[in-house]
Amino acid sequence: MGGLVLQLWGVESLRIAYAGSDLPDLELPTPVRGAPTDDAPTKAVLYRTLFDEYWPRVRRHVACFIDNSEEVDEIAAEVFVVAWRKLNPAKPMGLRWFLRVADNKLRDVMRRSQSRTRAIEAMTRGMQASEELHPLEALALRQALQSLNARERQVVVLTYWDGLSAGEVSDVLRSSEAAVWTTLTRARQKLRGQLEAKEADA
Amino acid sequence: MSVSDDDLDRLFRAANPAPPAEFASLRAKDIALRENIIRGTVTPVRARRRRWAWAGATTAVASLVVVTIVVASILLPSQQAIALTPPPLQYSNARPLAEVVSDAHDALARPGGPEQKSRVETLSWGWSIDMAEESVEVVPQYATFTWSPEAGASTVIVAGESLWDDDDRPEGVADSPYEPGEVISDVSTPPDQFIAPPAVLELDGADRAQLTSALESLGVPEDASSGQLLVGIGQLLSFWTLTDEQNAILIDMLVEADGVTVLGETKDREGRPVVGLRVSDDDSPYQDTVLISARTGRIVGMENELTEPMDFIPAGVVGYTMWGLPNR
Repeated sequence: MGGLVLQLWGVESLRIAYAGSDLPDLELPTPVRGAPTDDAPTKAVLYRTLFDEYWPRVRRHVACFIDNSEEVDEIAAEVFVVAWRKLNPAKPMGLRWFLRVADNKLRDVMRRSQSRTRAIEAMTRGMQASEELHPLEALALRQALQSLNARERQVVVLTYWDGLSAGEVSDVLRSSEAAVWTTLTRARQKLRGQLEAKEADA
Repeated sequence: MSVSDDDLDRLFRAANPAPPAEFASLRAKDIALRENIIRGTVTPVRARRRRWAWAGATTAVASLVVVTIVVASILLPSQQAIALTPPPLQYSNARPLAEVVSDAHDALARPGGPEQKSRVETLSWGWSIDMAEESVEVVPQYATFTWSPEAGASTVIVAGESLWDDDDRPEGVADSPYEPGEVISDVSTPPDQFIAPPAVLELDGADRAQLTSALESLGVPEDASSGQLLVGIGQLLSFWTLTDEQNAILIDMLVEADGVTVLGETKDREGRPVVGLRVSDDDSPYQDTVLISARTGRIVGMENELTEPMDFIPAGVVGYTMWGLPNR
């Protein structure tokens, strides 16, 4: 089980487990000797570690849905403002918490904008230039991604691009693992259909 | 030939639009942000832009909500924060959805409804949120929004009645600096700065395809849940006062989307008899209700509740908008 080795002032070490997490241990910076022992510096030290670990992950996750780096930074910043406010040093939040809050922020943005079009454009950017994809594969992928509904898009991003397991995805989405598998299977079916259609046309 | 799951997995992974290598390390500005968050001096740009908790709020009005009527600290104990929200409407006599829709259609079929016009009058209340300041503003206001492609847009906001009398104002809520009826703001937007989706601006007549196109241009997906659809309808009604026929189509579209339930009959916050329909959106922390006039069958209001506290916003009614009120 993953956990957090937290060095506190006046305390040798303290292991704090992320609830249900398989994340590796995080190394915290060495504390300043003689620093005060109240919560504020402890929280700041812990927060820096969480920020350094998860800021790139959250930005990357948001960038899967939004093709505007400034807006990606703004949304990620909101997530980390919330994290600072809610951080309890005795129970630090893990990656799944950050992704869930990011998804809430994204939904908030998407409710106000042309969400589907924007998400598709963001998800398919750079695909044609990818060296890993044959042009027909890229075309099939683009069309498959266009046919996904919002929940399928979320599952694809969390599974393939955030690299989460089905259990972790189900935790982020607050749904059952079976529902995640079903959704993922539907998404795969859509891609399979596009690939086979392209193959038949070729 | 059948494509294997492994191939599908490989393709999905290869399509990653945000490769990890591009996001691997912290930039100087990221570190500055981190330290500023710790110092409490960060103000995310998007948070500064955002004023309303309810996405369906009128866009033109939203930019003016910066005008404060009542300010409450969000750091109040949750019980007190809840006391700062209007009580939810109480419903009774929930009839079958088909009956409600049929009655609305009958009422909408009667002559005498308004023409489609690019003038919208609303009474709104909502949490206006500044995340960086951790503050909320409680803002009841009448807004009149008029626009044309040639003349641009005009928004006039007039203070409504305070939610509290002077003698029952909760602790921590400042007096309103405005008298009811006082003009809070009068703003004109020149035509070159008045930007809205063409499908919205060009909407003309009771054509379902046109309404669908206008809603899509406002971000409503093809497979929208009733909750997503209602958000789009709220945005559309912020641009147009629609005809009875257009209202009938919108109600049909809403009912055809999944998850509409009848809450029952009630009186809205202006005392008008209405029927409440709860829409659903599994992906949203909000619970939205559309209010249909028992007299005219028109969509005359929306209520927006947060089902559980989010960030520092307490659960409860976080916004409402009413249309079709008499001129003030």
